[in-house]
Formats: sequence, structure tokens, C-alpha cells
Amino acid sequence: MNPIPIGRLLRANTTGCALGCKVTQGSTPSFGDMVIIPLTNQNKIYGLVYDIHIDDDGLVNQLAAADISREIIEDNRRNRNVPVEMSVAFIGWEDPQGRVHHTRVPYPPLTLDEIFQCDDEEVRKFTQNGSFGYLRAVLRNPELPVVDLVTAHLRQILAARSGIDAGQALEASLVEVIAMLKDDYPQMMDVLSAVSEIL
Amino acid sequence: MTLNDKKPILQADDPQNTPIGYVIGGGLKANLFVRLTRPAHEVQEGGFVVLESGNWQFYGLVTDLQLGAVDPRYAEIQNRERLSAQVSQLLASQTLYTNLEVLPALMLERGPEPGTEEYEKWRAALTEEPRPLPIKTVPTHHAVARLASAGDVAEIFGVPGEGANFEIGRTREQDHPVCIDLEKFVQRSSGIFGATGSGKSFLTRIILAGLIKHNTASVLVFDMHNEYGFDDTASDTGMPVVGLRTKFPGRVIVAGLGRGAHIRQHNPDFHLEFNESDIQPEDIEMLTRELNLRETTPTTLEALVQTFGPERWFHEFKHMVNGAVIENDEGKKVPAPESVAYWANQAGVNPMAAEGLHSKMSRVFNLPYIVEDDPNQKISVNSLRHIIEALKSGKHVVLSFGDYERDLDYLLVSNLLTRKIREAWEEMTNQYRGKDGAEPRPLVIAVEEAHKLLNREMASQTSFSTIAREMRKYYVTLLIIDQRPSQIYDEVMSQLGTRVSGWLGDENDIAAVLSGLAGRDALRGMLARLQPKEEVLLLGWGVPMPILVKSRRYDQAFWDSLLGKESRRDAAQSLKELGF
Amino acid sequence: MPVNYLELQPQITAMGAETNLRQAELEARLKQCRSLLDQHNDDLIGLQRMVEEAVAQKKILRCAAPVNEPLKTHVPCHLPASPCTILAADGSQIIPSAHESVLFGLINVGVFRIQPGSGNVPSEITNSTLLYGDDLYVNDQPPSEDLIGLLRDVRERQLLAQLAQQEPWPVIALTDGQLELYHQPRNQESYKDKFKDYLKALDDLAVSEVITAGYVSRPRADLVVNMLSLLAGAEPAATEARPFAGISDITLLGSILQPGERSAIFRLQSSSSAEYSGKKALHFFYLNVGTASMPAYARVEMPLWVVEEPESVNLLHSVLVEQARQAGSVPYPYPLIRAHEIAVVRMDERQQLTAMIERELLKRGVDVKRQSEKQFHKGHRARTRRSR
Repeated sequence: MNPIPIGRLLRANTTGCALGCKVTQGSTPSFGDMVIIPLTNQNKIYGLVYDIHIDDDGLVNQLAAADISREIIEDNRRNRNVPVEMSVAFIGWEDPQGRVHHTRVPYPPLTLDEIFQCDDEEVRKFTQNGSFGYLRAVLRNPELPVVDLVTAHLRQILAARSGIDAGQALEASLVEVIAMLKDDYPQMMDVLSAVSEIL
Repeated sequence: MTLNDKKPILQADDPQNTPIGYVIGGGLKANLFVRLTRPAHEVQEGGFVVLESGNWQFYGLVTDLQLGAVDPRYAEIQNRERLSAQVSQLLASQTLYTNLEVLPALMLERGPEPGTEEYEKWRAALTEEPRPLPIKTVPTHHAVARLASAGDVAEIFGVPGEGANFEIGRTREQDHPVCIDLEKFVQRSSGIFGATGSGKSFLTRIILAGLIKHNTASVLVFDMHNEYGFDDTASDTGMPVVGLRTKFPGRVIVAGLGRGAHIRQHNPDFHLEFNESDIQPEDIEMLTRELNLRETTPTTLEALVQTFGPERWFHEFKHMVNGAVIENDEGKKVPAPESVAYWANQAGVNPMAAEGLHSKMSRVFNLPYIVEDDPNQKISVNSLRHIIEALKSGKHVVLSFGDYERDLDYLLVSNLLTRKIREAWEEMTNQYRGKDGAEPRPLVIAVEEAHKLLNREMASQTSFSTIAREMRKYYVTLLIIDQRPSQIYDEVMSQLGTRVSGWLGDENDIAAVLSGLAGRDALRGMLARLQPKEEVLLLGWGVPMPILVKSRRYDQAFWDSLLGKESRRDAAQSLKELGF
Repeated sequence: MPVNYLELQPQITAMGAETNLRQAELEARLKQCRSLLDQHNDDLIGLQRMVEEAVAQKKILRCAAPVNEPLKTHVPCHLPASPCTILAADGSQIIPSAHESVLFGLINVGVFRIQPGSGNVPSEITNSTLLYGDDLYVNDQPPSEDLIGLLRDVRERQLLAQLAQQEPWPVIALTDGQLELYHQPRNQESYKDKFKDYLKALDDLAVSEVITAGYVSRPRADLVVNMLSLLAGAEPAATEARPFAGISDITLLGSILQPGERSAIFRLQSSSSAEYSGKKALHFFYLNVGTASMPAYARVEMPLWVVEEPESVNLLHSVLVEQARQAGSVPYPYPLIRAHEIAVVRMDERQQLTAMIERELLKRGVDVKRQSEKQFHKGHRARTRRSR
């Protein structure tokens, strides 16, 4: 697990959360990355990052107009990174016994001590049972950038697994995606053509 | 990893039988629909499929294949540019499909899984061994569909060689033997149909061979084109075709029409001639169209019979002279006493009509195989009776028409002969029924070009339609062989039990073959798409359910399997052994 | 509840009329004040004596006293400012509330450190102090907002003193607002105690020779005006009779100051002058950190030890102008903006802290009471929620 330093939890419910991060260019998770949020009661939530944005910062707007010193530029680049806001869509959770569930999380994070970027091992663990039904929650949510999110997520899965295993996982996930999007031809073609580009 | 490994897991109960799909809809009135889970080319129209549904199995015939898509755009829009090959294939496997339309015909109760407790209970509760029944209900949704196995085919159509089962062909997909029950076959009239060149004659030979071999019925073949008795040559390949007499020496008698007939350079076993006294007015009336007779004909004939009696009228009429005149006392020309007109005046019949009839009947009068009655009444009566006696005693007769290939000959002879046979068999049956004799031996009369004898106009006039309609009570049935079934009187068609049909091109012919069979519209297209000379469709009362088969080849292998290896003996040798 | 605009309309009209009247009045006063300023521009000794006399008469006095620069002095800054280390501090607090589920307080001080021109990346320091237990019962009562504010001010200067010790000279320690604390009630023990701590912190800063200053933006003080009104013989504390009431120092002096210029340095004379004794004696000057078209004024308070070093004053002056201009269209020293940012406790941070405390207490079997109903309902409107 790679810790992502976070500033604060902004909003949370059982389908996702938004948090403010103090991150720099190097440590920011990418769009579509899988993250883990350990809860206080030993459960862990798995999520996908679907939005990363910088809030409007009044001060920065002001500064931009003036002739500013090197130090102030560095200050803004290095220190003033709090207003990165990250939105995470939950895709499943793990109980204290280590069993992975692909259902809606039973309760949202209430206090946020830590959030971690998943490493390859964790990505494999979450997707190991071969069922990709959790994509349902992603595909059906109109607020999410579904096409790009699914593509980025699949890319991460492919990277985390190798050889035949990767091929099987990809196929199983595509079968799931196709089954869910059958009735929505335009979206189906958008998702599949995006995915085709990474294969 | 192939496309099909990712299909929903279907398992037929017997692991050897690969499922081909599952039931998705349909019903009893219409057909059942099956979603295909194998590539479409593995199943064809006419395929024999089994649907497994709980304790029951349903048997049906594939009558249509339809392409479908979850959304028409998946089918209409090609996506090969937008998607990678793998993705495209996965998408197709889930959004594009083929549905089979299956005509369900039979159902059979198999009971629960053998070896389980429920199975024992079920077996114990049975009052009789389960048999295939006409379909009364439908399989459940998602019932597994598979191609029929050898066991299924045997269950429905019987095991070849057992009882009266005769292998007529094999299933197209998996080459399982399909049989017809010859006992059942002869209980009703049946038909062999197909357009010219579709292999009818070979099929007929095969069935005749089966009947002869099985030997519970006698066969009389009206062999209009001299094809069946002696060896022939195939018209298309030029290969020799073995004759029935060659293979069944001693049991098959080839009769030739008329004294001195030669059938394909062979001498027939005997010659058939008729007495003049055999000819009855109905025989002439049947030739109305052929001879272009008038409506006055029946009256004239009736008068002749009145005048000369049923046995002499033909002879007398034959010897009248048309237009003979003499001068009378006044010097006026009047009909001579031997003239037709003279008699007509006497009998009160219109002389013009009578003269017209006489001249038209000259073709009949000139037939060499109608001979005068011998006062000893030996020869022709003998030969006619000879045939009948042969048939009664269990021999089979092929009546070859030799050089007499005109419709006139065919109509007259077959009608005459059949009339006599009818009389003989009716008598036998009545005796049997009156407890005064043995059960008559069933007789099958094989009639080629049946539409000439059994068309609507003739239907009321010939003995054939009577036979077709009634004679099974009297142990006589027809085997109709024809390429224009639409021309056959539909009452007769609907009486046919088993129908064996090769390829047919004409809509009306197809409709005719299917007439009288409920709910068989689905089979229409199939008849037009049969492979000529290769495939036939069996349907009707005589088969448990319609089925498409690859017909058997009429070749040495056929004879070997029918008769065993010793059938290869030389024909001449066999004849010798039997004292011919 | 909705405001009764209809009812207010005539009142607004009346207000407008009254304002016009006042305007005229004010202009007259200003004119008078200006002439006094001109008259006494150089009379520094005279003015000093006048103020001392007023103090001796125990009059309640709050005004400026000149040091050694004529009243209308205006000094330009020298840019770029010389190298130095700026430590800017700000603080924020959570006041303990009986309506919350847990009773606690927080003082959060943020310090922003920048070395202009050095190329070094500025840094942030945060210091958080939880108030609990005895902190929460001052005279058997939970502490007032004022007291906690005082605590905060103290922490700010303490932290500055602490940090400044590690820096090479020169160090500028900045805070927002006056150096002179203004918190009631003054007579309570708790206040006196804390005030002592504050003064000690200032002493520490003096020892380290830290250039300490308080930055007041948009100053409304009328200290110089009050001084001039003594000349007019009035009691400076009596508001109704004050001759120049309504005139602020900036109104008077603002036009003198060009962009980047400071005014003369004045001593602050007030009731608390006795307490800020010796080196800590409070002084101030006015500063224009804006542009010709848009002036922006500030009042900068600093203790005597800074005033005594002209170099320090110049440095402070230049740095403030430079840093204020960095902020763009609304000039305000950048370090103070950042210090404020660092110090601020957001709602969710407060919630998180509350949750942490609750967890700890629950772990120890302490029964945590729920929020009061009033607070709960207030909270409802304030919080934002995700849509599903």
C-alpha cells in the first residue's frame, strides 16, 4: 500500500467520498487508480479515483496578476497544495476476516486517517474471484465518467496481472461490461472502443 | 480460449451429448424457439433435436434458423475499425445470436436421475414402460437442447433389424440410422414423392427391397418404365443398377405385358394377356380422356352390355364394321347388319355416337394383349390368375410393360388388374371374416405415375381410388410413386400414411405432400431445400415424427447389409438353383 | 425571518439625509484639523509636553505622541528590501461549547516563514494546543471567547519568539492586528496571568532583537487626530464633545503618503502604556501599500526596540511594502495571508478532531453525550451533503 497524504474528508456516503489531499505531482494518484481506505472497525473500503481537481483558489487568482517572487512561486507549488480534491467511487470492501465483497459498503468512512493507493497485489486480491459485478455500480452511475474510468481501471488490472491470468481477467471483465451495457448501444460502443485502444 | 468456452454453462444429462442451445420461447401451436449456443453451421434445417426438460424429453425437428441481435445496431453496424478483434468477438458472442425454430413432435417420460431414490419410486409407480407420445405440453424455459443421439433415434424410430424395422437412411448431422416399421408401412397406403431426378426410383427400389425381404406382404409393381425387375442402368451416371429379380430370385416374378415381350433383353417369367371377356364398360370409361370419348359413351356401352351381355359385348363390338352399308330393296344405302349403325338403331342408341365410340375404341381393339377368349379358357385367364395366385402364395410380381409405354396401356392394364385383385381380396377377406378361411396376405400395389390414375377426374372411376380409400380393410394398400403430387386427388393424398419425399420445387406439390397433416406448415420450406438424390423427408402417420434423413444408397453395401454377403451370388446361378 | 424592507425604506432615506449633513460637518472639521497639523508640524517638543501633561492629569487618553519626525513626514521605501527572514504568525481557535458532544477547546497557531530573495522554499509551521480539563474551568466557568483569544495571542508571540531564536538576524516577526492587546475583562486573575505571559514573550523577542510588528489593515484609528484635538482643548475621551470626531488619521494623513511611503513614527499613548514599559513601549507609523490610483493604508505597530534601530525600521518598512504588493490587487502582506491560511481550522477538521476525542473517550468507557438539539439543527443547515 502506498500512503497518500490527505488533508481532510469532505463528504462521504456508502457509494463514495470526496477528500482533500495534500499531494504533489509525484504522489498524486491517477485517474482510475484503485485506492484502499481502512476503516476504524477493521473493514477496508476499495474505491476508484474518478475525479481529481484543483479548487478555485482566490489567493492564487490574485497572485497571478502580480509580479511575484521566486519564493512565492515555490511556496505555491510546494506548500499550498491542499485544495486538490479527489473523488472516489466505492467498488467494494473487505471484512476483518480478509474476505472481499463486491457489494455496497455497509458504512462510509467517518474519520479519515489514511487512504492508500493499491499496489498490484491488492488489485489482484480485489479482482481475484473472477467476478466483475462490481462494475455494475460504476456503469450505472450517471455522475461518473464511465467510459474513461472503466478503461483506466481495466488498464490497471492488466498491469497488475500477467500472461494468461491477465487475459482471463480482461475477458471476464469485458463480458460483465457487455452484459450490463447491452441495452445502451451508444455507451457500449464508447466503452468498448476506448478499451480496444489499450489492448 | 475460444468464444464458446465463455457461453453459459449448459450440460446435457449425458456428458457425451454436446448441448447446442436452450429453449427460450414458443409453444404448442407455433413452434419452439431455441437459442443456439454453438456456431450456426453445426445445426441445419431438418436436424433432429432433443430438448431435455426435467423428467421429460421432447423430440423435434429444426424447421428454421433466424439471426437475431439484442439491438439491431449490433448486427447492422460493423465495428471492426473501432474495436480490437478480441473485443469485437466478445461483443458478438453476447449480442448476436441465432435462434432455431423447432417443430416439436414427441415427448417421452424419462423419470428422475437413475440411481436416485426418486427414480426408484418413479419406476415402481409406472404401469407400463414409457413410450414416446405425441406432444401435449412444452418444455420449460432454458431446457437444454442437443442433437439426437443414436439412442434417441433408436428410441423413436426403432433399432434397425429388430422386428419390422427397416433402415431407410441416416440422420444428417450424426449419421444415426433411421428406420421405418414395415408392418406399419403396409397397413395404410403410402407415397414416395419427389421431382424428376430427385432419386425417387432408387428410393422405391430400396423400400421394395425391404418389403420383399421382410416378406409379410406381397408386392405388385406396375413397372411402367421397366426399371425394377431386371438390371438397369442409371440414367445420370451410367452405372449398372441391380434389379429386384436378380437379388430375390425365386421370390420375384417379372411379368411382361403381351405375348413375346422382352424386358431389357430378358425373357420375363411369363406373359400377361387379357381376355376380351375381362373388359368391362368401366374400363373403357376410364379411358375417356385418353380416347377423347363423348358423354354419350356410358349410354352406348350400357346398351352394348344389354345387348350382348357383360362377357361378349367387347368381342361383338370389336367385330362390328363401322360404316358398312348395303343397298336395300329400294336401292337405298342402309346400314349393313354387321355395322355399328345397324346395331345402334336396333338398340335405340344414337348411331353417330355409337360409330364415334367404335372408331375411337379401335386403339383398344388393336391391343395385342387383349385376346379372344379361348373356349378352353386356359391361357389368359391363367396368366391373370397366375399373377393373383402368385401374390396370394407369397411371391412378388413386377409387371413390366415392355414396349407398351403409352398412357393407354398403363391406364387400362393397371386398372384391369387392380380390379381383379380387388375382387379376389374382398372375397378372401369375407371368407376370413366369416371364419371360413385363413387371414389374407397383405398386398402392396406400387403404382408409378400415380397422377395418371389418381387425378381428380379419374378418382371416381378407377379402382385405385377405391383401394386408396377403402382397401386397407381388405389388406390391400397402395404405394404411390409420383412427381406431381398436386395432381393427385386430395382425398387420396390425405389417406396416405407414410410419405417419403425428396426435393420438390412446385409450391402446389409441396402443399399436396403435406395435406392432411396438421401443423406441418413449418416443413414447407424444408421440402424445397432438400438436397436432390441425397436427402428425403419422412412424415405422416407411419413415422413417429417427421424427420429428415440422408437416404440410403442403393449399392452393393445396401445389398450386403440387407441380405448378407451371400447376395453376391451370380443371378444366373440362383436361377439355376431354383430350377428356372 | 425576512427583513421588513418596506419598514426600512423611510429609515434609509433618513439615514441618507443625515449622512449629507454629517459630511458637511466632517469637512469643516477636517479643514480645521489640517490647519492644526500644518501649524504644529514641527512642534514636536511642544506636543510631547502637552500629552505628558494630559497623562499627569489622569485624563483618559488614547492618542499619538510624536517621536522625532515632523508630523507630516513621509518616507519612501527602498526596494528591493534587504535579505531577512520573515516569520508571520496567525492563530485560530475553537471555543468550547456546551452544545457540542464533547467539551474542549483548541488554539491553532500557524507560522509562515519566508526569506525573500533567497530562493529558498518557504515553510509552514503549525502549533495546535488542546484545551481541556482545568483549562476549561476558569472561575468555575468555561472560558470566554475573549480569554481564549488572549490565549491565542500569547501562543502566537510565544511561537514566534521560539522560532526566531533559530534564525540569523535580521528576523521580522509579523502578526495581524495590534500589538496592544485589547481583551476584556482585564481585572480577572486569569487575564492578568496570561497578559504576563504575553509580555514575557515580547521580552523574549526583544532579547533576540527580533523586528516585531503588528499589521493593522484599513486602519480607522484616530490617534494623531486625538493628539491634535488636545490642542483644541477638548477632553479627548469624551466622544460627543470631541472637536474632530469622525476624522480618522488616514483621512488626515493619507493624502500625504505616496505609494510605498510611511508616515512619521508616533508613540502610542493609552491606558495600557504603563504595562508596555521600557523597550516594549508601543509605537506606530502609517503606510501606503497601494498604488497611485488605489491607495491602501495600514498602521504598523512596533515596540521601542525596533524604533531605536533606524535600519530595522527601514527594513520593516520595505519588506512590508514589498510583501503587500506581492498579494496582487488587494495589497496585504503575503506572509500574513499564508499564516492565516495555515492557522485556520476548517469545519471538517473540527469534526475530525471531535471524532478523535470521542473515540478516545469511548475507548476509556466515558459516556459521550450527544450534541444538543439546538446545535444539531443549526448543524443541519451548515453542512453540505453529497447528492445520494
